[in-house]
Amino acid sequence: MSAMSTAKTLLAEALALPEGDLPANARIGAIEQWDSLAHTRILLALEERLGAPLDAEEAIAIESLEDIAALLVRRG
Amino acid sequence: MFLPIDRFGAILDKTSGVSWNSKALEAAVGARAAELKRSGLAPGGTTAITHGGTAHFFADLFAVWSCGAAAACLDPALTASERENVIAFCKPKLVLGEKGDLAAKNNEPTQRNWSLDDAALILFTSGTTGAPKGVVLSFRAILARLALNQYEIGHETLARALVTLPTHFGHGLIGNALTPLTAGGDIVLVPRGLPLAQGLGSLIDEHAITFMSSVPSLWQMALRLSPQPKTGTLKRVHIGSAPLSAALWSRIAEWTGCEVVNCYGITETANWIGGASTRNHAPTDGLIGRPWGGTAGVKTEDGTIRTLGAGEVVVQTPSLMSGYLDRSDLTTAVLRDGWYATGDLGEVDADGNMRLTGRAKDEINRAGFKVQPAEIDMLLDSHPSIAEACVFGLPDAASGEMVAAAIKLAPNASEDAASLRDWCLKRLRREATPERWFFVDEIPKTSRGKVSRDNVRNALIKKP
Repeated sequence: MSAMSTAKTLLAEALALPEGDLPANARIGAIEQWDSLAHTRILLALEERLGAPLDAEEAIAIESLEDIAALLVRRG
Repeated sequence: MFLPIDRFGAILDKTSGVSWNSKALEAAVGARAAELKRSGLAPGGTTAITHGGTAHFFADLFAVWSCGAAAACLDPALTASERENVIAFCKPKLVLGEKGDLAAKNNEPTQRNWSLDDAALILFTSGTTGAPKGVVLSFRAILARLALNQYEIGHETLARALVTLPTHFGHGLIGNALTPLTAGGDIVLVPRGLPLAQGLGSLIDEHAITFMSSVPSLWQMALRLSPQPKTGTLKRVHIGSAPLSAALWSRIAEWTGCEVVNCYGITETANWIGGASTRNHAPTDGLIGRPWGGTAGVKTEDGTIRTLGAGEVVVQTPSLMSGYLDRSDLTTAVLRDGWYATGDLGEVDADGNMRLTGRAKDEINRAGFKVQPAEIDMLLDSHPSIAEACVFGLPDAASGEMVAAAIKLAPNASEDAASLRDWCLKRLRREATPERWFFVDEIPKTSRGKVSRDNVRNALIKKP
């Protein structure tokens, strides 16, 4: 599975949206469901997937679907 | 009620940009109170305040109290239909909106002597449909709670407080804001959500914050997104309104470098009634320490109340509510012989320390905000395409519990999660709108044919 498709699954689950409804340019502020609780859900899901806590710089850098995929590539 | 506002602290409102020292607050309250009196507000009258979280909110609240009247503080995020429903139920004389809006709703005279036992605050924990649940707190209950909180925390620690919570519920209003403000401490009102979590460390440093209170979910975010404060001003942090794990408790203590208290409080008891501090206790799941004033006990299975053992937590506290507004049915169910039955399960040890272990009441706790599933069931049942609905709490690492709904659609209905969510958002505040939707052929029933939310949750969680 590519990092982008993993990121899509993870984000769709955190936002409780069907994957098909996620635009490729999904980002915080542009999707109504992406609120602060959903954001925490994304960070927790990433930590679970990576098996390690995110450091502050990594966590702060997460703002979009692309950022999630990029992090998965870097840490994958 | 006479309010010694000249001894209150200052309000720094970073949301609207208004900052008042106690003199300016006194002037604003005086002007507003005169206006309310001219509009006929007097002891026994109720005023609905439909805005919140700003310096002007506190001016409105204190002005209402100066008139000896009760303030029903409504969630500003209520939908129009929810607001209408709550206002129709609490029959306010006046409705105060943002930007100084004032609407007179009824002109029945309410002139009579004021008493400490008159209603001061009405806080709603439901309101979408039917007769809402409004907790009535007297002036006496609030004064008692403020005094007990201030005695427990200390005036020096309350010198400068960061308000991280909304002002329409007890934890935010009474605990986080009024406790420091009436002790002479300054309160700093800031925008919430992600900006607060990201900027928490620097906000604490910038405003020399000594005290703050919040819910666990803010810390889940802040510990990941914000650098630690550097100046060491923080003396004490409260956490409440939702279960705090021992692991998160320890991490917060490490991040803040100060005393962290896991508090227990309920709207019905005018917020905190006790807490366990890292000063005296190692972080332990569910540990909430001894009561700050009054007595805590447990109601055992045979219905007797004991101050040692396990059962439903019951409390006698000076800050107990007078009851639920015009809902004696609900009030008699939870108040007996001066004991308030909290609906939480727990145990009390020989030293009087309480530990919460679970919940008996039918309530969803979403990031500290309580959602009554029955009223959402009722709303969903009114949807023409829904044959039956059951709303329940689903465990969630970010919010503790999220609101979920099991839906049996009517034959030939074509609704999906997105269309039902849109329909709800027009009628239901966002925080109570289900985030997860399960479409089922039948809502699982007990052997007696009843719907049990626990059964529904368990049946649906097991499915992949």
